[in-house]
Amino acid sequence: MNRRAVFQLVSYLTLVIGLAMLGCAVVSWYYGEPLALRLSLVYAGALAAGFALVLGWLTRGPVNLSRRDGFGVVTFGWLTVTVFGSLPYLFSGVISHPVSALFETMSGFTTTGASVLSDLESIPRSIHFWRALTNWFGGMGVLVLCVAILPFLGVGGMQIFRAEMPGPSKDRLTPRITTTAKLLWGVYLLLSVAEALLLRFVGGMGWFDAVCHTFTTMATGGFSTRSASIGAFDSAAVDWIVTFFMFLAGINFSLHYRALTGRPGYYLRDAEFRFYALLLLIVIGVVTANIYAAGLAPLGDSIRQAAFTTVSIVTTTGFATADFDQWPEAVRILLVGMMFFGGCAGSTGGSMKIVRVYIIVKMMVREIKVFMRPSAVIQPKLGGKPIEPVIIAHICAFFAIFVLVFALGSFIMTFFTPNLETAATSVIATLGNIGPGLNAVGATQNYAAIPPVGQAFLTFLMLLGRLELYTVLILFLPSFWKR
Amino acid sequence: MRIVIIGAGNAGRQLARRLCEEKHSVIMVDADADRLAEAEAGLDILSICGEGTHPAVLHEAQVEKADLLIAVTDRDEVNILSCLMAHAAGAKGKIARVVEPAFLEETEAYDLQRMGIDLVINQKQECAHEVHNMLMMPGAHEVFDLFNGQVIVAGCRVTAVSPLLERTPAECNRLDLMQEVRAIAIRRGDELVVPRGNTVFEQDDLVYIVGTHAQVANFFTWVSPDIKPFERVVIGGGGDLGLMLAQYVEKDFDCVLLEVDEARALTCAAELESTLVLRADALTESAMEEAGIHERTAFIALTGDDENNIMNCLLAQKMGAAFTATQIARTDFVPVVEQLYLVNRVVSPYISTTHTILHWLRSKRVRAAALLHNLPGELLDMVVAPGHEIDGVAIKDISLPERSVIATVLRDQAVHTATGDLQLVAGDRVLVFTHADEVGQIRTIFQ
Repeated sequence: MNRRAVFQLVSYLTLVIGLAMLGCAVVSWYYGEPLALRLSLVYAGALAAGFALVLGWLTRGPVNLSRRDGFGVVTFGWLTVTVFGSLPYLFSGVISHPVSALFETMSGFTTTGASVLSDLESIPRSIHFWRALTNWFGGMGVLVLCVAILPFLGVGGMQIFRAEMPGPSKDRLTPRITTTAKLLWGVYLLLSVAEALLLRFVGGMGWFDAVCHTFTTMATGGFSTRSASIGAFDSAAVDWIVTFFMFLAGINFSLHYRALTGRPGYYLRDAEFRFYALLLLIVIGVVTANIYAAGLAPLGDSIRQAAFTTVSIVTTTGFATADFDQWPEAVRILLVGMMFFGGCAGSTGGSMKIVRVYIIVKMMVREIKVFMRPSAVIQPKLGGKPIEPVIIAHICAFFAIFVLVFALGSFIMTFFTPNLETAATSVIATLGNIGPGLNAVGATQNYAAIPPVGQAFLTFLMLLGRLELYTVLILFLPSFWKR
Repeated sequence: MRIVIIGAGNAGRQLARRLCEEKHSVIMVDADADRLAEAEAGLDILSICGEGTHPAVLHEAQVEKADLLIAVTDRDEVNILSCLMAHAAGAKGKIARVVEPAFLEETEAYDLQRMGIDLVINQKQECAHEVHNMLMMPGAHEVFDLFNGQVIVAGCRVTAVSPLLERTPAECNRLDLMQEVRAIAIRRGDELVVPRGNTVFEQDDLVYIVGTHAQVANFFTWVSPDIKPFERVVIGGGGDLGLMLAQYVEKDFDCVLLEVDEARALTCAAELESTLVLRADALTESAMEEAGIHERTAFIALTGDDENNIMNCLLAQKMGAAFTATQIARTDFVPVVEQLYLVNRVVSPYISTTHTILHWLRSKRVRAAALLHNLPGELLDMVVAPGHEIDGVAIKDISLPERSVIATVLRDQAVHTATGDLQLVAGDRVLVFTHADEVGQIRTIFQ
């Protein structure tokens, strides 16, 4: 690993984060918050920026990244920004335990949305803004932003892009990776502006809430400024706007780009999108029927709540308008199952990704058919094109590791949680970057009661899930560290 | 620029690497998914898997929007067809690599350039031409010609015994020779230095000089008196490249061609005029002896096999050849062979192709330009317009940017050395060497 080049890039990343914290200090000043709070943000920002400048100076020189270095940059970059990103919580005294602060920050950057904070209404606005901002940066990836901004990366940019962007195969919109990264961030920004305006003028939210919730929706993060999440606004318009934008955030952003450049037909031509939309419709139907039959809400409200909750869970956002922990058992287990699906490849959603599930389903059908007719030749296809055997093997291994981590993690978490339901759902809610689970970590609860060791483990799971296992797991291979 | 490359072979990858370094958008098309994946792993390119002649594939590569399409698959027909289709779709520039000489015969009705292909490259011909230049200027590094061979650009290494060492141009003892040519650039380590009157030549500098063939040759006999012009050229391997090279050099040298296959040797003998064709394995000592290698012989190994070529050169060195060059097809081998000083020069058709295309690309900006390998310098060909403010001005009175130098002046088909007192007149073609950053400034001065 080329340590000098890796840490030079980490320094740029830290600089971006430091500047963002200083931006939060400006928000604090605008809302006239106490000086001590503003200073804590300035200190945190200055510390990060100062560290970045010193590290950048120490590691100056040309950057030339190999594939291995790309993984190094991403993992170390994420660890560094998480450490510095936790400083505002600690300095302002909003969170006192360092591990909890790291948990909250990692939950932000990985767009998980799991929180250790209980009374959100009592927290200053600037800290809310920082939480929402960590979500937003993590959604499209702060390193992808660096690839878009830094002009000198060249091939190295692609190594980073590959390591940070989710999905089994990365499609480029343009020949040069820098331009692709710029376009993706452009689309992300455009959708964010659209949502903020809609929430403000159609949903009737204040500017501050509108912007914060936009950040966390587009990133499929799920941090809210209210303890009751989106439910606190109790508005059908807000619910539907947020549902729609969560749905958009769960779609491959290159499809959005094509639609914005006048080719909306690509949505329906994309097999993954069709599967995603169909899956959502079916699950919404089942959930609506269940909660309406149980007499929990009238039909109109049932549809609204079912649509919101299902989209929120499948896209791994984790907002809530109703406490789905109180819903019938069938719906609860269905929603937990959905947590494994996640958004489309190339979206900001987490978990396993729709395309992987889709390919695994195809492979299962194929195996069953071959079992019946051993000499049948069946080529699984995705959108009319044969799927390469390498990708299939990669996805099967990914699925196996994901399930294994889930099983092992659930076992470990039983030591830190009151019951099995909490243990298992806390693992999938963090590994899949969703946020709320069931029971003690349900939609109206939070992660504060879990002891620090358990929180640290969940923090690790969040990173593992966001960077799609391999990027983090290769650090455990001894040969990665050798020259 | 948006550049589509058809073919992910050696030449395609070489090109893509150089073009990426220059921040162009590169799209690569190849039918072989594995080869494409290999290319994509190390390069910042968009890859599209499919036949480069299929409309759907070309459409996916957005050829209609491309500034340039370069077809370098190993099939001539595919290359030509891709270019023709790109021409129909509206791509701006088209370059095709064509190996079969029959395609290149200049019949008016079938001229490929008239069909819309801007540049047709015969990889082997380019390579043979490069080797020929190299043989004509012994002791020089990197030789190429401009204006149909009227002007030669050659690189000269400053060795420990060179008369240039630790001197400025004015301090040299043969000022007459020094003033006939112009030193336009020095490669010092990896840096480009543009020589001024007070620049001191250091050991291991590579000095690029410009002049007519005779002037440059005189310069080299002075700088390296112990390197004598070659008398005999022995070519190992009578393949397409070997045969073509023999055709190029047989006028100037006593040429011997070794070819092991009887039928092929006969074909070669029929094609060649004065070359002695030997049907023998170049890897045997007896064959080498028969070819008559002596201390003024250059040996060029051009069999299709890299390892054999290298061994061939070593054998020729042992027999006393003054100069050896080998063809290396696997580009990975090139740095190793160069570093070990196993041979005097490495010849690679792929690299020649890349250079030709890059030369052509650069010349899109200004008429007929060239570039030095791996240096950020360009040679620009500017024409003095009548009535322009520099019309009638002496060269020393033109204020050029710091890292630019006038290399030579072409007036009425004759080459004039660009001394300070030479007055420019309308219609002169001025060859200017400039750092890449100063190209814009040079254009404003001359246009």
